[in-house]
Amino acid sequence: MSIDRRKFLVAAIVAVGGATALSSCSEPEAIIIPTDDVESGLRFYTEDEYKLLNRFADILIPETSSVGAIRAGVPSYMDGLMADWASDATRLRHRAFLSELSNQLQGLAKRDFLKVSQENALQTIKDFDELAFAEPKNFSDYIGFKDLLATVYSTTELGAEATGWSYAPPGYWDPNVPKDYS
Amino acid sequence: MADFDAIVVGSGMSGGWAAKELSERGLKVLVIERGNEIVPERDYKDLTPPWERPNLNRVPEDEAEKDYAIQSKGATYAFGEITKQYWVKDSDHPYENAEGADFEWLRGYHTAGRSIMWSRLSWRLGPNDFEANAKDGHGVDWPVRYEDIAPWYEHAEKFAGVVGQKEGIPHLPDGVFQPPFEMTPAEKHLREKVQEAFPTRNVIHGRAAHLTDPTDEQLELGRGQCQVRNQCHEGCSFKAYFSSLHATLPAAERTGNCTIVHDKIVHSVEYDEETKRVTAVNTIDQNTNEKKRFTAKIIFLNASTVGSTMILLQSKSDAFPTGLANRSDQVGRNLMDHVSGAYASGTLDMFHDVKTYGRRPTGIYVPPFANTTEFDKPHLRGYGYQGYSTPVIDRRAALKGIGQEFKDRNKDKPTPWNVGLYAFGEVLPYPDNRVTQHPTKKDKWGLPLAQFHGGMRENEIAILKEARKEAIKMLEVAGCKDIVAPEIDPTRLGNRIHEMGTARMGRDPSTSVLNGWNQAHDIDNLFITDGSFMTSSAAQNPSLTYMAFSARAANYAADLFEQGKL
Repeated sequence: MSIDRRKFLVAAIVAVGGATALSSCSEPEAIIIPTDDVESGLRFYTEDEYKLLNRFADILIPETSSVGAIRAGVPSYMDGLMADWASDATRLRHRAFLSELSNQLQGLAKRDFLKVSQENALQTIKDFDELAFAEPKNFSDYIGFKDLLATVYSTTELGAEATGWSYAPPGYWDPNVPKDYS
Repeated sequence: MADFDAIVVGSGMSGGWAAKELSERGLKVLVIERGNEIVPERDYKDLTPPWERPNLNRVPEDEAEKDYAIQSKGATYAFGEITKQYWVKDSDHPYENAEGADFEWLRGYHTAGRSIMWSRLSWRLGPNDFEANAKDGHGVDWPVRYEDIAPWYEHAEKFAGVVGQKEGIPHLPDGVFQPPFEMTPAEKHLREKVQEAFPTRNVIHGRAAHLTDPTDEQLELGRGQCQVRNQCHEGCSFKAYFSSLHATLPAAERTGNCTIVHDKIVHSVEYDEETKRVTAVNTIDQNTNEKKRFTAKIIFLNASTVGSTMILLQSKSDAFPTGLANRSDQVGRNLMDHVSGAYASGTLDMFHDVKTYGRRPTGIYVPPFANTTEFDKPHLRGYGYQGYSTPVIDRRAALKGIGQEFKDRNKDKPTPWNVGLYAFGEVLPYPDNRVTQHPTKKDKWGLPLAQFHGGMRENEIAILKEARKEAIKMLEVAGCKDIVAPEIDPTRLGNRIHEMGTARMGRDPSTSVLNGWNQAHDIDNLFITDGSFMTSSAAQNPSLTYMAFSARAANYAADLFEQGKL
């Protein structure tokens, strides 16, 4: 799917009860998660899985001064990857991982992760990431998942431009480029 | 009347050279390629940007397992969705390992063969390499010495284009070089410290078959300067690295003397007992199964080490009941490769103010020193290291973090340097490391499957253990921190894609297949110049040696042809 055909919904972060309110009792009624919409319909993910993927990808690689995972099209790329590349075994494992991730995030957020505020979601994933990297052996699937999302991101045209390392244009070799030169 | 003056079986690294030299000498040459035709302008996909490569350029897992079970695991460096066309489908091209063997046969059947996917490292063998067998008694003595082949190395380097720097190392002789890719500051530091601590060791530029200053001849062939993308295994639209497809085959074709046919699997070579010459090759079309016979006055086998060996074994006659040119019983024996599986890497916390630009297609090299300048080693022969350095870049999932912190880590951000050394060791010629015909199993064209025997042994393991230890020492003297050096994990025979030795050259017809001109002892007009002629493996990547011997043999054959002796 090309970037210009992709329907991109800009995030609408709903602020409720003050920006610092992170407890579950102050969550908004409805959270709109930025979504990389798949025009022809999902081929692998269920709707709930896709929402989780979108939310995670958006927080891991947010839209800042450079393109974020959603606008780069990471979730829809992942849907195609799982549909076209992954074997049944890989699909099963990935699906099981998403289920476990959902449970873990729900446990940390103390409610449905997809329904917590953006700030709460960010803190939840941050906490989970800390936990995972404290014991990486126990979270190898999570680390692999992050790696895959980052790889997909850097492989998309917008992501490649933002990260500057997946594409090797014709050029030359210089082993002494000043660090700050770009 | 023969159809051609010469037939060259195979269009890869050595076949291209045989075709070029014979055609340029005025012989009418037929090149027979068993695989499909590759046309760079049509088939190369190296200019496809990452976002247009399906599925992260990964071959679907089910397809990889079904059709490329061996190639996909053994050639990970070059196997992807846009390059799978360069590797055989294992499902179409099976082979067998005998009990206890674990040979890995990695190959591609198409124009130029593996000269499209090779790693381009181009070293000369040294004088010591041609004397090694005679000195320690393994294998047989080479029938040539370095001085015999040195002019042909020069000939090959000038035409192919090899980057490098003259170093004056006796056991890794200098050649004709185009400017090297400059070392990184970390590599210069490593060189200084290693050479200080170990006065007979060297850290040198990679010598690789790339054009950094193309000659007029190279430009005339449509070749251009290396664009430093390091995507060479995908083919190069700039034709900046050496491949048969970029250099020797076009050179052969421009003479008007060379014809190339594709899709023709050579299943046998005919021998005429009366004239004691080979006279024809018999082929099967890989798509239609049509059988066709081609005749010639001279036949060069360049079908790759195992491929040529299988053709010899399939070409039985009353005169050669165990296979063509096999009176010595050496056809198929002494199967060698190189051995890897020992490495060390570490962090050099310096040169924070610089980073690199471009993707250099080669690195650094530590030439062999064991048993050349340092002795009393617990093994025979030696090893070299292919090395590199790169700014450590915190990419992807390497470190924790989310949001902006994670994005920052995915930028091209230099931090300390990572330096690594990977050993490539010599493998001895063991007579029972061999390939034979499987007694019952056949491929879809009715030809016997190759069956491999043997594997890595005590000396190769000892080499790796030493190589690991010495790599750690060199990184330590350079001041590397956080050195990682896993226990050795020997590569399988064949995994380095340097299989060789199964029709070795030697002085004695009773113990070798070829003489010092790559000519069959038993048959004057049969030449074999792919890796099967190698009498020992040395530790260096072998392709430049195949090129040099191929050019030499072709010119020798052309001399005999002109003299009316063939």
